[in-house]
Amino acid sequence: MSLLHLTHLSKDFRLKGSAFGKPLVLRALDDITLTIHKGETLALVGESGCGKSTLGWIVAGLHKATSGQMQVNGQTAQTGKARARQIQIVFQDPFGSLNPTMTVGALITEPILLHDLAPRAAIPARLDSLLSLVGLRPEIGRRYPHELSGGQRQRVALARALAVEPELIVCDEAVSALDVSVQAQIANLLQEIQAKTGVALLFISHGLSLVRHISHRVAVMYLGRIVEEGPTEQVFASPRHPYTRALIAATLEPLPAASRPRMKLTGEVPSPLAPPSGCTFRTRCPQAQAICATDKPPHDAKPHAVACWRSDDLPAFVPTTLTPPARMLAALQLYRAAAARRATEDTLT
Amino acid sequence: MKMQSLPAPQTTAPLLRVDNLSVSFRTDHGPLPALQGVSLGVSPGETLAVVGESGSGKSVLSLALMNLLPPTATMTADHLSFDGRDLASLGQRDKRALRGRDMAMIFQEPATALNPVQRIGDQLVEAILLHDDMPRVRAHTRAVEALAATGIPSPDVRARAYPHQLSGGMRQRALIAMALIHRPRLLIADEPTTALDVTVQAQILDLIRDLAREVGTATIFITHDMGVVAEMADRVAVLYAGRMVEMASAADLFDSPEHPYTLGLLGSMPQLSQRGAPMLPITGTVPDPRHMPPGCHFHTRCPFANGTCETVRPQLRRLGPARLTACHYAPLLETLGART
Ligand SMILES: Nc1ncnc2c1ncn2[C@@H]1O[C@H](COP(=O)(O)OP(=O)(O)OP(=O)(O)O)[C@@H](O)[C@H]1O
Ligand code: SF4
Ligand SMILES: [Mg+2]
Repeated sequence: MSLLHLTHLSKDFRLKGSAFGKPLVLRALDDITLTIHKGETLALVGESGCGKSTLGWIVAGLHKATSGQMQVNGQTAQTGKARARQIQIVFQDPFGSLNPTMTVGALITEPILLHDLAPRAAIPARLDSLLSLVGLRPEIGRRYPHELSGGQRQRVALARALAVEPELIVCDEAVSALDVSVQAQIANLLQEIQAKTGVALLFISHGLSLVRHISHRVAVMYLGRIVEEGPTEQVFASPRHPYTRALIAATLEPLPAASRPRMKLTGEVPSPLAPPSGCTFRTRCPQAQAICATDKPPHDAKPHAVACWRSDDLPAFVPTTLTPPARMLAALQLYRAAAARRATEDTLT
Repeated sequence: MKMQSLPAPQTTAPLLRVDNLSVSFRTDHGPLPALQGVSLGVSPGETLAVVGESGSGKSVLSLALMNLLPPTATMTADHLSFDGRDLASLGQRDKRALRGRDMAMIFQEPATALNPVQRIGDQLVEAILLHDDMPRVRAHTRAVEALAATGIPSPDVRARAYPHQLSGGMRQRALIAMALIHRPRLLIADEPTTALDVTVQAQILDLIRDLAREVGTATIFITHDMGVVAEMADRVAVLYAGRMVEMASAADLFDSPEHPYTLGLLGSMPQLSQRGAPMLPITGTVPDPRHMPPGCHFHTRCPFANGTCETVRPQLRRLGPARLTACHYAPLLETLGART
């Protein structure tokens, strides 16, 4: 069932006039059509500045789209408090988004009071269950944000988002600033919470390996457009867009001799103030031909969709093969078994 | 901790060598031991990766080697030499000449390492004139050439830009141009790509590797990402809570990681997790250096820890000609009797 549906959504930012007084228009999102189903994780990937966060912010009601429609549960999306009840957002920097003068407990329960979701007497019990849902010990509730580690702060932000029992949480680079070990902790937690509560996630990230591990579907963005979208395993196993292929090729694998396709992108993302004509990726695309410079490639309507003139003529995709050495695997296996044993002994951080 | 100072295994004569390096900071809440008994060396043309989580002491290590620690820091070492010369015996002048010319560093945060109110080109020119005597126009030409070598498009235009006018990737290239301008013999790169997109990261890593190879630079590459380690390193030092817990050639480390912390770092990589199963991150976080647990510093997070680990600190032990590990269980597979 579709939870969120965006149709032909665009967003322009008007910047201060240029030297000649003409207002500059930056098209941050260009004709986005996208669906998020109930209880699923949709990942949004792409390089910085491609519009991922703008899209997430619009979904969470923090920006207004310039044109296009947004529906939640089949109805035109509501605004303000009503939207916040349905859709919450967690940011990259939990420090900036948590009021430093409030205790963790107050921070987490504030939305419950704001939305009048529980009688005051029920609040302490609700706080304990939220803390335990995000894997924090009850006494953390009495601390202040600055007394917490980055990972703990992100758990608090997550608990605060979960407090209103939303249907969707936008995670805007929510793990990107954390250590890999803590990233993995939070990613596990997200999966666990989704299994328990059925919340859908819009997981915005530039880290492809994590996206592959935790998302059900993935949408790849380049300069404000979605260039490829589909079930995660399909997109990674047989990417149909040259940009998706380049992103996969640039992802580093934790093994020295991992054979990876040597397709390197040159240059950088062009300025969104002066996007290239036709396909905006053509200036960096190894497959570009004349038509790419003149006509915008349309999206095909397949479940694994792509917007590329050349998608049917791309060379065969060689997936990265990762075969960890036997001793490494055996050691990881031991580690896994020992960690699983410990985990049953102690579950809270 | 004298026993930690087992000299780092080395195949060729190291360009830089440090034995038993410790750094402690004076803080309002008492001394903070950020590094303890670290010994390592790096040879010409070699890349040594230093890997560990946030707070493990990676940046402190690079600042110590570059002689850039703040005044609140106290540093001790049994031995610290560059190209056979004892760094402790050098005067400030010689040290300064060495740093910037023979030893260069790329900082973790490009935003803070560039002067925001000075054009990129002028900053490069100044870096050049600091160590080389030449007319300003010549220096400017060299600055633009250095930018071009990093693959920055239209380098002459970029040279006139201020840092905020460049993208993160371009700023990082400018910093690399600056670090490499005197063709340093030692390069310390502190997480130079952590803040960048993957495609830009791939370009920057290529750049550092190519330039280093061309000049035969010895590189110390600091990162928390095992993917970057696999891509760049000849040898790897794993740092945990200010101590070296494992050192091995990259080939050996990935072939048979020994230390549980190394395994934890690998287990945190989604690529090495089982499809559909949760990942296996290390639980918790690096302990505060002021409140280090007794015994093995890792025991609070280690799934193998036993009573001995809680009381007796494991020393670095030699596991092979070029391998060191500090764990009571090492070699892990043999000790735990698993078959491979
Ligand atoms: N100037 C300073 N004064 C006091 N303590 C410091 C100072 N610089 C670093 N530390 C402390 O030293 C320890 C090691 O810090 P360091 O910055 O080297 O970690 P790191 O491994 O580089 O982490 P990251 O991955 O976050 O960059 C930390 O506990 C840190 O808080
Ligand atoms: S010494 Fe014990 S606690 Fe430390 S890493 Fe080894 S097994 Fe773990
Ligand atoms: Mg650092």
